[in-house]
Amino acid sequence: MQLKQAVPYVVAAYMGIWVVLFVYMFIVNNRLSRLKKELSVLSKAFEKKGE
Amino acid sequence: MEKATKLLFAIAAILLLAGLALAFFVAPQIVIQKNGQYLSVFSQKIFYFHVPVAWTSLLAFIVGAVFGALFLTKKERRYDFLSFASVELGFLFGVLVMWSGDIWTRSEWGTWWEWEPRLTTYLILMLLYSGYFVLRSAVSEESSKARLSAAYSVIASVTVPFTFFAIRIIPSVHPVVLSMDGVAMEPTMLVAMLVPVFGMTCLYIALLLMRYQTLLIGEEVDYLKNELGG
Repeated sequence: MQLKQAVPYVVAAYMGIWVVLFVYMFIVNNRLSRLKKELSVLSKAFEKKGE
Repeated sequence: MEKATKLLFAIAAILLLAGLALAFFVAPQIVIQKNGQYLSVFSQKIFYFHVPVAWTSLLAFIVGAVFGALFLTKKERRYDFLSFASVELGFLFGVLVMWSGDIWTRSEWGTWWEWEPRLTTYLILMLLYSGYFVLRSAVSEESSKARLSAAYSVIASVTVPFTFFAIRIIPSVHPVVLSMDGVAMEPTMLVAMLVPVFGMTCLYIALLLMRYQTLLIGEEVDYLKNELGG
């Protein structure tokens, strides 16, 4: 396939790979930050309960 | 673990960006002769990231099986988390393999799908691994879920070497880069392929560590919630 005809396919293939990887990274990173915050709040509450 | 994850993300970013530059600006443009005309095969550029995601997906499934086997022998929860995280990433990279592969198939072969050995065995592999997630969500009891999914990940990994060797054993139209005869490409093309292979591997390890942490902290959060009464 010649350059002009192949460009949309190459762009679609690369865009797909990068978009999916970035979205996954974003979701996991967000979840991790939320869980860390939650853990910190719960740990403090647990310590208070123990006192 | 956080420092290691950040370092791996940085290495992956450098290698993947270098891989992009090598693929588009250094690796030679493939030219074929057709009907007396010379045609430039630009869609071949897909190969430089299709192979790295394919390698990473197969690696992730094998790593998932190794951690699954470790869980079955040592019964430590962390191995179940690592196995699950790795299989999840293997599936994610598998979707990217099918996406980039199908686009290449469409541009080169003029069809979205061809029932040839590599595409067919990879589809079987993906269907088998989708069963892993169905199984994991169907079992509610935690220890049974971990045990069954670990066993499943070990059994499903049998399809990985089968997929890899399919086009080397059965005649296929799928290109074979690495065979018993050596590497079928120019050195600059090989470098342009290997750099993103290492980059994707670093990205996979970084994502694995990050996903493992979410599972580990998630369990701790659930435990504390239960202890505090909801």
